[in-house]
Amino acid sequence: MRRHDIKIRRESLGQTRIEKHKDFGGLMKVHERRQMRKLLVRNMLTLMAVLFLIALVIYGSIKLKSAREEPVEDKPQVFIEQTIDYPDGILR
Amino acid sequence: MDLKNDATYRRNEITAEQVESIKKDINQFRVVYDTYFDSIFRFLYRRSDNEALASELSSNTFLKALENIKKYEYRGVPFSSWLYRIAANELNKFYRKNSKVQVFSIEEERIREVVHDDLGEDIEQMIDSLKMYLEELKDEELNILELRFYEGLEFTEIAYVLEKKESAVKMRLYRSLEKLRKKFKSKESK
Repeated sequence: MRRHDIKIRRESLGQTRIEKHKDFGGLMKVHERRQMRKLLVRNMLTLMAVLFLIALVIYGSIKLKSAREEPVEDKPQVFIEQTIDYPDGILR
Repeated sequence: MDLKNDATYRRNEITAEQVESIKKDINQFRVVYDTYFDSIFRFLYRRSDNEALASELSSNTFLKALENIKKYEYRGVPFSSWLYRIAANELNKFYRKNSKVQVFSIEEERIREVVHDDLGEDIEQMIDSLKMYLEELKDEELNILELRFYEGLEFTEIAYVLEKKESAVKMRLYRSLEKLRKKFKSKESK
């Protein structure tokens, strides 16, 4: 199976034709746009992380507060009656 | 047939100090762009035979270089090798994504420059045979031949671009040249 194609060009690429494709300004603009997008995504992620942490703190404090406000119920003491079987003949 | 290592488009290299100063001020990247655009564009055009595609891939190459220049570390090869490596990766990505057959376009003028005149046969006929023999080579062998004789890269640079060992690159090159030589010889004897 042939993996590549060889082409023989009669004419070589001229300098003026290459110059036509040069666009440093355009390249910098694309770069800046990409950087801005990256920055935006990073800021969004940071904001989401901060919001999540704040929500977690608020949730925790609410939970703590409600736990404090809840009246403490006296827990009934549970006695476990144990019956010991003494062998006959031993004084009780 | 004998090929001479006399790449026409030998590049001016920027120094490691210049790279360090570009890292500090990205606006100085214009130096990189102006110095290497021609050679990278020619390389990509040769490997795509499509001006619009070469232009797009050149933009991608320089954009990647711009985004990653802060991570660049000097590894004992000229800065251009780093750019060639990015460009080669962009090309491979394109061919893989579009599952197209790789193209190697060679200027006839360049063949005439690198081939000795004492061939004793018609140059047109020789070009046709060369085309046929080159098509029989493996992609990697062709890559090495192209980087060595058309881009004028040193073995260390080719090894860096293709992410191979220098000794492996040398061996591959000599083997592929030997293959071509044998094919031409057997043709002559017929």
